[in-house]
Amino acid sequence: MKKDPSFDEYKALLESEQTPLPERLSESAVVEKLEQAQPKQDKKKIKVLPRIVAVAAAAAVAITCVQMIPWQKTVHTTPVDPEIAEVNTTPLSAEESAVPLSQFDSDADLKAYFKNIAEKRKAEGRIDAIFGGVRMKTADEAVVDYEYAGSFDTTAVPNAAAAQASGSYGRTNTRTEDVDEGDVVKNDGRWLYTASRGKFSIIDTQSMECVFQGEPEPEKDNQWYQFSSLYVLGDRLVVGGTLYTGDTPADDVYFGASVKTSRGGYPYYYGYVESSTVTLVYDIADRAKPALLRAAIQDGAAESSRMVGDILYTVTRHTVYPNADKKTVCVPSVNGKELPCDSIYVRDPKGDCTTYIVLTALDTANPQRDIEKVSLLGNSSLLYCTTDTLYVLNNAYDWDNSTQATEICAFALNGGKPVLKASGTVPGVTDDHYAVDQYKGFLCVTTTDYDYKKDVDISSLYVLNGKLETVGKLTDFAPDEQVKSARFLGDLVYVVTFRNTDPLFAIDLSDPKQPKILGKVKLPGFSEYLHPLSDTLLLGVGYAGDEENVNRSCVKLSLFDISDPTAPKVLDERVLKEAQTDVNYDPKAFVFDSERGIFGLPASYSVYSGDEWRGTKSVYKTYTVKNGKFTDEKAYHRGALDKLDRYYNGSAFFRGTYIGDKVYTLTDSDVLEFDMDSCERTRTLIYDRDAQQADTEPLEEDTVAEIQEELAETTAAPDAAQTLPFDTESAVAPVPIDETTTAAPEE
Amino acid sequence: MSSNVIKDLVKQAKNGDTAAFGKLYITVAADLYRFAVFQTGSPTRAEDAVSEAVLRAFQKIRNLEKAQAFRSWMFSILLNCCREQLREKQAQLHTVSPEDANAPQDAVDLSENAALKQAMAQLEAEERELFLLSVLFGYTSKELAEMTNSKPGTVRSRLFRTKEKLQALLKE
Repeated sequence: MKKDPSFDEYKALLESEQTPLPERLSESAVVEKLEQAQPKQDKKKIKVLPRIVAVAAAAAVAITCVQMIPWQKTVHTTPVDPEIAEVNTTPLSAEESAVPLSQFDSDADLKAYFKNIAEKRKAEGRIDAIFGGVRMKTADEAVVDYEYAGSFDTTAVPNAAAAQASGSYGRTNTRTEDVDEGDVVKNDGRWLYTASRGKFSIIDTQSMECVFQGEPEPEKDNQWYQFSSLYVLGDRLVVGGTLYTGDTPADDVYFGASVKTSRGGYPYYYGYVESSTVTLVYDIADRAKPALLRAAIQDGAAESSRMVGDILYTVTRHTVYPNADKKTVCVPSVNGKELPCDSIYVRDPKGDCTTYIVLTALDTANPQRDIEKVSLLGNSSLLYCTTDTLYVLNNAYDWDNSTQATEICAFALNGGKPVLKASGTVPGVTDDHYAVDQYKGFLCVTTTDYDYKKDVDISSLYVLNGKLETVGKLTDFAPDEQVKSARFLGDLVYVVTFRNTDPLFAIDLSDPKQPKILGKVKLPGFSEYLHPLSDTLLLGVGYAGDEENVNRSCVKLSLFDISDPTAPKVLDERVLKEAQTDVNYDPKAFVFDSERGIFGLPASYSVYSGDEWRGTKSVYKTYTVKNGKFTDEKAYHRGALDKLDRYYNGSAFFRGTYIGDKVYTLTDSDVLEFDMDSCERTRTLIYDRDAQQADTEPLEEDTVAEIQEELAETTAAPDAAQTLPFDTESAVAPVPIDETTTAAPEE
Repeated sequence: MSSNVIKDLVKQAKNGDTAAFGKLYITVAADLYRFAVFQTGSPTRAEDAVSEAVLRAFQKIRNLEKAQAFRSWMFSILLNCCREQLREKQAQLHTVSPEDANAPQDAVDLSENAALKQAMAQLEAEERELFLLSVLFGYTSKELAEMTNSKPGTVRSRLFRTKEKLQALLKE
């Protein structure tokens, strides 16, 4: 084939191929199969179980874990009755948890637990066989400590370790005061620390130089690192990431990008990948020569981590694959040492959960100290942490009973010696850690449930006590709406729900056992993230929309007046057309300078020439809020329009931050410094040329003008017609938007 | 099929009516299978994937919110089933015994699409997914973003990259 075919030609080529539907997939064959698969008593009628909290939870655990195994296949073998081994566990007393927890009495009981699962799977004819087996590591197999096989590419710059700058600078936007969250960028007032792909860099903003770049080399050629979580505590740098082990070499380069150079999340990789979570603790008294103090590795993919004081808490999810015929390690390890059976808890000793939640505590001030660890057989989907308790929440779906539940387990942190305290469950699923709050000794959770019979969503708020028993609730407060975001502010919680329009509810929690709705306001679209700008102003970042649809290709900013919680009001709105912001997915991309009342967010605008999508243009936007309006809109960007990002990897600003009067934007390859007032670019540092070359493409000159024109149109005030009349209960009129405040990005 | 008919069928299927589900299924069956054949590169795996997707879809249909979205919802379930088939294939490749390795593979493809199919086989599974859904069935980047749980911009850039990749592969 010589010429470059268009998509239409591909289509024609593919359509020329006949793929007649095999008999097994015919309508009658499929219906017959479904009939067989359906339990007899449930045919034609599926009953909804009454929601008994503990019962629902047990069922949900079992079902989720089955889902976890992706290799389930239709049954081929004749089921046989597996020999059931006895599992001895010690249940904790009933008062201790809303869903009882048990501990394994011995290694043999833990083995028996997995053996039963393996036998059951074998009887069901599942092909997990390729991985499974039950075995404990023998003493000589266990590595005593993780040997760190890294090498460093150091760009030494003298005099780097000078006094840190004082004054204001951007800090990571975290959920809870005094609980730090790891991020891809940290700022300590003088140095910027950034992690991207398998590297982490230290940048001196005074000299605008990269003083250090660490790129640890994994031991084997089928392994690669991805660093995504940094913490800076004075002269300590903590680097968190994942060590991936694949089944083929990791550096197969394709179009300039291998898995090693793909950014963020799970990299492109074709095949089976195992993840371990890695933590590196450095002394950075000399920023140009970080000294490694401790390297730790724990089994499983990182759910998330939190820093409370000097203690780093890391939660991983580790799935094991027991097999009846083969030996496989079924216990997670931390630094090569298997967890002892008395640190492993289980909700249902007869269940079939094969995923562990592993929580470790590492004292970063004394990194050589033993790592504390505790584990629960269960799954996780989000983490919420206060200074004293860490909650692991899991959205569990139970297909058989058509229920969805949030499973919660609470670990008391005990200043670095975490203990599993309680386990509980509430109906419905939970969106993110902003939807959860510990207040006055209670845990409040906002959830969305779905009633399949009525085909409606149910938004609810649950209040749980220290044992994770439900003591208060407000169910179905927004009929047929889904909870999209929540923000807890003392006695009040603001909740945004969504179906078509976006009601913002204010709910009073002053009596946690009797939450009640104080007021609400409706507007089109919905907010994904809520941020309090002051005691009386709440910002919503989300999507625009009308009565019918949400427009996910726009970013919408909404400013709410919450001075009277019984009647929240919309003061102002802004729509960024054809734009996306990472804040909608990751609130850590949001920066608020409370001293100056300025907030900032990265935005990527889609650029078209004609109908053809050309790429995205990255802009860092900031706004000041004055007199209930968004004012002083600023846009920081490359200006020359020299590069458009087509691959979403390299040249997009993933974070912006500030030090004094300078704004910094970061991409995988460079750091740009801007004057905060004039938006003028003052300095540029390219700290990773590989990344830059791999992912961006210069534009032909003749399209630049065209694109500039389009870009000028991408920021506009919302169409007046889009604004719905407010809900009568709130009795507020929409505020007209001052046209003069909506400027195009400055060039 | 009118939207009201689809709505009714979905409702009946939600109540456990297998025949109603069958009627819904057959409206998309040919497309599902066609996609799976190209995605997994094997009619046998495609059959397994569709078959599994149908079982799961029936179990999960109570979670289907909008009846109108049945088609794209089926596809999003099938995507997972195809991924599992590919993962299984990969795992088997690494566990085959020497005798198995010498066993005859799928017959050599002499059709005029052989080059394109060969090139497609070299794409990442995710890239091939998006490529097929967009080329064969005309899904927009917004719809694809919802089906694959990502952003429209990401979908567009992946499609762009995939097109470039394919062109380069076909030139080889």
